Amino acid sequence: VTPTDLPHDAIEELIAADVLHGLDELDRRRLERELERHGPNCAECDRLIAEYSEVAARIALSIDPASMSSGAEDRVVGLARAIDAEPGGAEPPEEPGLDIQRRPGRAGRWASLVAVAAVFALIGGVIGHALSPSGRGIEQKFLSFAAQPGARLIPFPSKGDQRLAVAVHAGEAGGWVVGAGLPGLTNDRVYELWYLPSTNGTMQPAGTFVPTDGQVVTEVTVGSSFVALAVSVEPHGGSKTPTLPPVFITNVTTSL
Amino acid sequence: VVVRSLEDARDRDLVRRVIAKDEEAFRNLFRRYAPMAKALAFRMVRQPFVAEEIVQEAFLALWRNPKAFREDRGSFRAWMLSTVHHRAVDAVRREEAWRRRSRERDPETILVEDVGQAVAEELDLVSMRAQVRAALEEIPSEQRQVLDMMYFQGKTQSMIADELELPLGTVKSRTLLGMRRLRTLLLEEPS
Repeated sequence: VTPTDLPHDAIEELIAADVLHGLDELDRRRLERELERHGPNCAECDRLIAEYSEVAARIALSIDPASMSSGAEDRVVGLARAIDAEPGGAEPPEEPGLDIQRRPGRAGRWASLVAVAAVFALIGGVIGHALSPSGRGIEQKFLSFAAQPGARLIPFPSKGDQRLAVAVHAGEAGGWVVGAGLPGLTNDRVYELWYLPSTNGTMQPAGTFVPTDGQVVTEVTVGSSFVALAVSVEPHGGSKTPTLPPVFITNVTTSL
Repeated sequence: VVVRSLEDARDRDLVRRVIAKDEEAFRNLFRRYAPMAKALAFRMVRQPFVAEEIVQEAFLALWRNPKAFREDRGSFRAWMLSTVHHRAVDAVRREEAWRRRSRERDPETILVEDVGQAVAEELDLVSMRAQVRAALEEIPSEQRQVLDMMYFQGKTQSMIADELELPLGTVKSRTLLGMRRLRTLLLEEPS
């Protein structure tokens, strides 16, 4: 009996729902078992997956395309270059977000200088605001944090000229929020950063900040792992839970 | 490997060039598919900046690991849209967690999508779009409803069964029947 001779009724039902990402976890595991049973060379399984994937894609084509924002192509290419510029960049990191220093690299002064230079370039690219290496103490403290091995810069999607990003170290609660072009707030309101520890969790406060001339560089306390970050506008002193919808939100597809 | 069209063949060639770190090939794929990918993500997450980030992440994932696209399992377009869809489903399900905690919705965050009609015409997708819409109209409404909830609202079959108060088996059979019918209508050559 070749894989193609095995019955495909059950697997077809699972594949048809899986290409829509609608399977529940139990059925998803059942599909994986079935695909394993049929083996990697089952032509009928490949045919079903290819055809139903195409059907799913056609459903997507039923909606009108949407223009990307101005400069989106250059931004994604810039981020791709940043990936390649990382030490060990040829090895694809699985987690999203930008790995400023995926690997410690060779110890020594040159590695540190390269790391700091990369941070400057990255911050400029991500938030559109160049930090000065000889700038304020707080900026130097942030740059020192971001240049350390294992630091990651997670940008929020930009909104016009507004840029915001959070720098973290995997497994550590300390972090920094850095941004430029942020609107000023009235009535003593503040921006509050939130993190979502897990998909089923609740938003946790990570710190508040008030931009100066639209810019912010400040320390925050995020969880040691999270699946999403958000920023909302809250009353002075911050809130325990968000009281307004987020003005920035980003998903971290893989937990830190 | 079945190559369905010249466009498909061109895409496969572009992906091979991306494997060799050809930036222009990467730009070409981005120009070609980002607008439709964004439309799909936006339809699901309803926030343009989140939709755009999802598209960006999907393309960066392609740049990091272009070999994740398996030529024996369909077209690049289907793969890319599936990647974007998967990320959008994740975002929608996370958004549910946020929404449960947020006390009010801000209608300002729901923006009207910017339609890139010129892009559609350039890719000769207008007639295909009409064909897909006609096919969706042709399947029974109860099947269309299940497919819509699953694909555009990011719900699993059990969520749909709960929401529509239907047996799970009914939702599964409607999914299969609807998808089979669409496959016939969209992929099989007219005799």
